Amino acid sequence: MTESLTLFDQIWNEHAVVRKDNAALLWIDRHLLHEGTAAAFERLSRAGDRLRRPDLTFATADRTVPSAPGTDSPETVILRGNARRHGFDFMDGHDNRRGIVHVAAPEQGLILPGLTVACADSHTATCGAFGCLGLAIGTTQAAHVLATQTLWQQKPKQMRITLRDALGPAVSAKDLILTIIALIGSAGAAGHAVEFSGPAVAAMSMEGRMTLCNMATEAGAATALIAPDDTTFAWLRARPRGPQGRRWLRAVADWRGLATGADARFDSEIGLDAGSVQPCVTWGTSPDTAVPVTGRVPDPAAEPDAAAAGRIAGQLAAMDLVANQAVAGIRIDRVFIGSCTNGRIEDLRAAAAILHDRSAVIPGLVVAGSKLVRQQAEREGLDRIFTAAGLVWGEPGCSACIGLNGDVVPPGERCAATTSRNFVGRQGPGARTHLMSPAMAAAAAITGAIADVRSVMR
Amino acid sequence: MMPVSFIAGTAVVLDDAGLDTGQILPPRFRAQPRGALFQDRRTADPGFPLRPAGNPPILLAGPDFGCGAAQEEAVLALLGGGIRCVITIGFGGIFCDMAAQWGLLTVVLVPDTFASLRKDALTGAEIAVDLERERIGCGGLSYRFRMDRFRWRTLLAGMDEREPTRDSAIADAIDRWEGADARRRPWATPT
Repeated sequence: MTESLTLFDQIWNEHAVVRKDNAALLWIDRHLLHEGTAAAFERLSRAGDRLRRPDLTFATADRTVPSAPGTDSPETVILRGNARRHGFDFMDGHDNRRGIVHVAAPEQGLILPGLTVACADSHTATCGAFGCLGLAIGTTQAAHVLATQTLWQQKPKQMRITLRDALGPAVSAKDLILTIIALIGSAGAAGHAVEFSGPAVAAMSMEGRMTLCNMATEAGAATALIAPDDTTFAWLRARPRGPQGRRWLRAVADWRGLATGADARFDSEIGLDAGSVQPCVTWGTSPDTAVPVTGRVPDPAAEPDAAAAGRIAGQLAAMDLVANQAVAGIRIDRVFIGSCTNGRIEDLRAAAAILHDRSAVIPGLVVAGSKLVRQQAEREGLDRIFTAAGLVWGEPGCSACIGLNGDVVPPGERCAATTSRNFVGRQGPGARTHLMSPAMAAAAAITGAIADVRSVMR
Repeated sequence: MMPVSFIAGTAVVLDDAGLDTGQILPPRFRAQPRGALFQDRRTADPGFPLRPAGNPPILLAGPDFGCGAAQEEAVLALLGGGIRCVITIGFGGIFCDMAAQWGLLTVVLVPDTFASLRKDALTGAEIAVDLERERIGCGGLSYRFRMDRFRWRTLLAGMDEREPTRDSAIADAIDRWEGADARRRPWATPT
């Protein structure tokens, strides 16, 4: 029977406590909180509920943390009070474990294969890289999880994206996911849980897999996941909050059974040759506008569908670009390297490899995804490469991805960003965002323009 | 939460695709969402069709409405602006989940039906959304829509998702699941 189930089905079925109409009440193994969830605690109190499982509730501060050492935001102070009152683990400002929720939680071994993870953040699919079910929720649903350790969910459809072949040199998981989103559209995976599989995924590091699952959100996916394998187990071994000793052996034995059956059916199947993927950048105000760096921005006149032509024209105007303009050479005003998409050690290494012994010709900010990533980068001397190039080395957090800590891109400026979203005003009112990989952002920093990273590689 | 059953009035049409929760409510206003609906869009474009308050009750939106951040305050900004129902060919992200908790009705129509309704709405025609019968009436025509049963029941009853979970049979089922799991997956409890 197991043969016919997908990985998603296995986890869903195991966690369905109750089914009602088309919804299931799922047990939640880990509830992750950040400082934007104060309203959930207000609702918990108003409803007369108590936090059911403080031991499965974990918090960090990420989106309002200043990138230069500074005072705590009011939201962080409130979260600290809630952590004391309700007795859950808060990776606070001084805590060496603090970081962006989707970076810090895996580092602690809190994210394991086969688990369900809920977080009031849209990029919770990131943890699907470990073969678990990451569920993005709103603050009212977070209050439900606090009270009951469960969550009502409608079962999504299922899509498999098979990535054949291998990524080329200087082509990263970010280029791959941007290419996928451009291929299927920003709603291409809407209403679907996406499983990534194939040789390109098997060869990918956990950092790359997290980038891939993270941005499945920008294709509209309800969640994303990758079957756990030896790469996953090696990464998870000896993490502080993960299973140890005999429980570790039992866990790995259980996890080896977490895979989609050979004859399992998906509602939708897509295949892509990873070897055909080029370094790419987005030109528009939707994450599905990536084109190869060797390409051109589209021409609305060449688009037969009037509505689609109108959307292209609107985005060109918003981005101050001209139809058919070559992407390479578009002038860039500043660079941001970091975020839950690309703020891990491998990302910083990729940027540093380009920036080593070179100078940035535009201002830029590099922000590690967590304190542990920051310390690892400093052990490797990456911070000195960034600062020697003229970039600012900030305190870990979400920073300029969403600008809630004051790190905003000034109006009219164009930012090369390793983040996940380029919506109008995402990095600040009037800001213009081009999404790309860390290596491509580094190439933009040293040239002051969008540039093919392959032309500056050594 | 008030039960949602019938919403009638004129509609405002917003064709932009992919209006994310950060455009609906710029996140720096998240502490006071009411009055800040589409703040930056309105500032940039004086002709923007939505006002901070006192809008028609129905919004006909472009595809992917409400994609982006899991910022529930965007729903409050819409409700504060007088919007009680958003109709589109497809919502983004978890917008429908968040909207349902506050009684903001979200309706998905197939593109042809949406196009026909949009045409009427632009003439100022009155639109009536009947959740119980899952029908939209406009200009003498009636359009069918479907909402999933769980959401349909909770909206009609005016419940957020906490209400069904209070049922004692469900509470017992959670206790049983939790008890059995400790033996079944000893490794799932954090070290």
